Amino acid sequence: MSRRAVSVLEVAHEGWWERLEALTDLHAHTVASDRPTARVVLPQSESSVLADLGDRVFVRYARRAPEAPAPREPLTDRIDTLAPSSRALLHRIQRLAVRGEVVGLQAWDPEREAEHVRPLLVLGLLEALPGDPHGVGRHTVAPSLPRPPEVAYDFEEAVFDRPDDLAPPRPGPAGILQDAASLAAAVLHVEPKRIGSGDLSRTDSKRLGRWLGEPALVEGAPLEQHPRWGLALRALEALAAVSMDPMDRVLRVDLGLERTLEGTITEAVHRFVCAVLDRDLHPLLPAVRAALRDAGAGAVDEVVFLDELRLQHRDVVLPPWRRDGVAVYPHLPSEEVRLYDEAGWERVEVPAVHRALRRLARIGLIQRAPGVFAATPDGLQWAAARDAPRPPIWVGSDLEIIVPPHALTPGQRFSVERLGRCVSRDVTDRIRLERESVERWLAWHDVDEAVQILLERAPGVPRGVVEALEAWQSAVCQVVLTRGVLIDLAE
Amino acid sequence: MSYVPENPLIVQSDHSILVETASPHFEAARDALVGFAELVKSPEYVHTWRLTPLSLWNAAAAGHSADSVVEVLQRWAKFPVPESIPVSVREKMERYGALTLVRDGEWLRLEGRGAHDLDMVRSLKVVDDLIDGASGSTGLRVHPRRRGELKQALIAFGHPVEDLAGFEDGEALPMRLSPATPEGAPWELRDYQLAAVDAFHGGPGAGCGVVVLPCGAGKTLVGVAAMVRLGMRTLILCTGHTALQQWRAEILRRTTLTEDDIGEYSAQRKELRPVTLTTYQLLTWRREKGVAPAHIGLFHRARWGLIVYDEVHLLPAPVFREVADVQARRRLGLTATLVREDGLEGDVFALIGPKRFDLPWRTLEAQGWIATARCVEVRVPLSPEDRARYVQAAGRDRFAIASKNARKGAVLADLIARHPTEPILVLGTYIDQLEWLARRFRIPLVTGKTGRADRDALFAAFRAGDCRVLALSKVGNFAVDLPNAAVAVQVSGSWGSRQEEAQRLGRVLRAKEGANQAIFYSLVTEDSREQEFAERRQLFLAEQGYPYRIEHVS
Repeated sequence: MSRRAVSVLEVAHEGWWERLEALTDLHAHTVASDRPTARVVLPQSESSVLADLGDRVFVRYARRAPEAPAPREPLTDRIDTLAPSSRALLHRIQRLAVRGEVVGLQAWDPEREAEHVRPLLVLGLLEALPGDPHGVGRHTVAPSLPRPPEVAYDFEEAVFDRPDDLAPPRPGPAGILQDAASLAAAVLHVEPKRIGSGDLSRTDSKRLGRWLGEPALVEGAPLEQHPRWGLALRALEALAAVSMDPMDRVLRVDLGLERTLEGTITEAVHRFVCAVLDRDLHPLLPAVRAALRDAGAGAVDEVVFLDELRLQHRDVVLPPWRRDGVAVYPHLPSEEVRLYDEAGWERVEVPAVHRALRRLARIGLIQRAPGVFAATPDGLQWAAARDAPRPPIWVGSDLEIIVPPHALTPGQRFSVERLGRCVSRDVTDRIRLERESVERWLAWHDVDEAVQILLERAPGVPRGVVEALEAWQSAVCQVVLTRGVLIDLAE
Repeated sequence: MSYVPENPLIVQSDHSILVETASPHFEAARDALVGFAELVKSPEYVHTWRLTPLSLWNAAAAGHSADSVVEVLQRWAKFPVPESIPVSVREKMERYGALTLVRDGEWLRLEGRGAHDLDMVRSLKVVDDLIDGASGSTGLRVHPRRRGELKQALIAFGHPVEDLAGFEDGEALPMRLSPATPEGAPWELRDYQLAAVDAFHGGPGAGCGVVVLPCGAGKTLVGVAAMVRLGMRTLILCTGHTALQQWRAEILRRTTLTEDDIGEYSAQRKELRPVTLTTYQLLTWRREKGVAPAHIGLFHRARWGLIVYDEVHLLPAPVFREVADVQARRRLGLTATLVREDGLEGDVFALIGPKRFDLPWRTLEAQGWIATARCVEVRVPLSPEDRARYVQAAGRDRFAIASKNARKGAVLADLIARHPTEPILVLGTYIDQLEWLARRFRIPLVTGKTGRADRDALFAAFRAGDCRVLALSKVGNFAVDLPNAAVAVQVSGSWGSRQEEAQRLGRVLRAKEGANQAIFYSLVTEDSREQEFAERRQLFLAEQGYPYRIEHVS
């Protein structure tokens, strides 16, 4: 049965209908539903209903749980049917894929390995994107494939004591992501506008400062030039998580940001790293992480690292083609053929590794000195793919949430700061649940979700806090228009 | 990041200190903090304390060093202590003792730790009139009459003066604590009461200061014991006549003093005896506007060895001037909440003295010295008729209509039935509302108009159990000692007064036999201005860790 999204007008109790009837022609604009407290709004009448009812009606947006994925044939069964050579190629493709996409030219030898690619296409493990050159263009990798086996690196030879001349670490991505989450929540509250110069208006910058608990912004400092919040804004832009509406110049947050920030701190950090790193450098990341893991609190000699990388798994970074019995770099027909030898390594891979290291240093995962790199605290966690022990948060009956450092993942912070206003940022952040912010939250979520989010990290939520949230919900949700409610067409 | 999960403190650069109550070291850290920080609020999981100039000067006055304060912070910190904090603590604590006031024959002398300290004082125009022109380089000469004014002026500029000029002894008054009450029941001071008395009398600068204890914790006994230990004539300033009577009764019960030793200086009686009790109201009473208070001279009419300021947070501003004049007398302030709405905590520090003792409410509750209290806000809807009146009324009237919601009567009936055996206090602000409830439930009512004898008789009947439900107007907000009250029902309140809410809860906090539990109901009209103000009223108790459960009446 097909379904359709409609708006539903819902009231807390039936007594409301009589009062609403006095304000708008309910029978002309709505039709009854299967519940006495809800009526379906006719699509052409929604604006009239909203205009007639004014601020008595609270607009919400239906949120649906992601559609349950259609039952899939277990991919492992299909993988089991692959010849060892095709299976090895599949693993290589998976390692080179960025956000589920891989370029054939870079992943396999179109002459020698075409026969190994074919079974992958036939079994639906790989799919060519329409419009791209056949066999060498972009392909998507089946999303639910099991992870390929880890490539084993050993960089012990490259490890030595941390030298004194490492450059001071830049702000790390864990902190930047936390701030980006805070700023995104504040942007949702304030909906700031950009002025002609492209900067945020000073008034909105001050309002953001009030939500962020940042006195410098409240006093008039431009957000773009603030060392902390300017960086957070650039991070949101890098993640394509904010965009300006060209009509009203309002900066809006893409709620898909929740997906970008979800998971553990190191998962979110890795997603951030992948977002700011050029695609061709992604295959280097497992090697750098392995080297940082091996070094721990020590440092990595870049020359030895490069040497070990070339000797151990050069083909993981850039798999060679073979022409006339000689290994060559992947190339387009119009390009000159380059030998996949040591000179080629120095010309192709070594600059790429240096580019990757420079970028990782810029985003605060490593510190560098000439010929050396070492992990920052964030880098150590990223390399280990394991979050440090996290303190809890505390929710007090005074409606304040106390958030110690590293207590929340960026995704959790985004939710918590949507629920309340930050009143101070110090060693801990103090976030106060306020009616205004909770009402905004209620446009998308409900109180139970809020309590669940708090309980993920807090030892408990005082009853009085739950009651306050429920009271606010009850006050604001007397008359609700919910957009995007799915109904069966037969209704 | 070095993170020590089991430690309880998070020290922040804004000088606040968060204390995790679930930490295994919570109690040790809290006991250490009491000496140099102020408890701001104490909800369930994390208590907030604050390092303030006053709290650090209080600590310095009590003999703590800056190093010992920093050491405590670092020992119990969960995360690294911000670098600015040790610097700030040292700088602030060094200020206490940088200026000292000492006796110099008939005069006093203000001395500085360094020459720059005295230069700083000289540079303040406000102290020009308080220093004698003949001051030398070793110190500034101060007339003894200017002692309080000088301290008050300097603390306003962030420079506390350590007053080492000593006190004049009052006329001796031999007395002892009685080992048993007149009924023959043996008694002794509780540990914390003894500790409070020791703190007042011990250490440098002893003999002046403030003791902070929750309602029902026995502040009066601390005052009585402090007086007994000193053994000199004592003037006791109370908040009202009922409190005055309770002081008198307690002194007679707990000491060897007799009726003849205790005088009442009130509107009715002007007795001046070795222990004299009076009220702030009488002291500030003026015959007409613009003239000096008629009885303010009481401070100088005897050689008092000790002046006790009960509920010192209510000490009226006009009395400060006289307090400044009697700096040569020992003085003790008693309070449950040192916070003053008028921001004059600095004056209390300068003129009464540093805080000598403090204990959180929940600590005493955990030890069983005060009752375990539950707070319930009962949301009562307005009737359709009252709702119509409410909607049409102006702001101030709306509050009154909501406060006097007639449906509260039915809720009170239900609560009285819900607690069929417990002694119940009905507390309200609007007399007509209380009179209506008193008539409806046939319960006695005490207001400001109730004669003293009637009032005392009603209180006695309530204490004896002859009267189970008693209604009280605002006269019951302070110092009404009805220890058996286990249930309080607040039917209306004074706007958003946090003090009133705390004091009213205090009426039922006295430790009780058996389960030692008390319950405080606040009846609030749903969706009204009263509900908005109720949130503010509840702030102080919420900060002290008393959350309100909300019940809805259909």
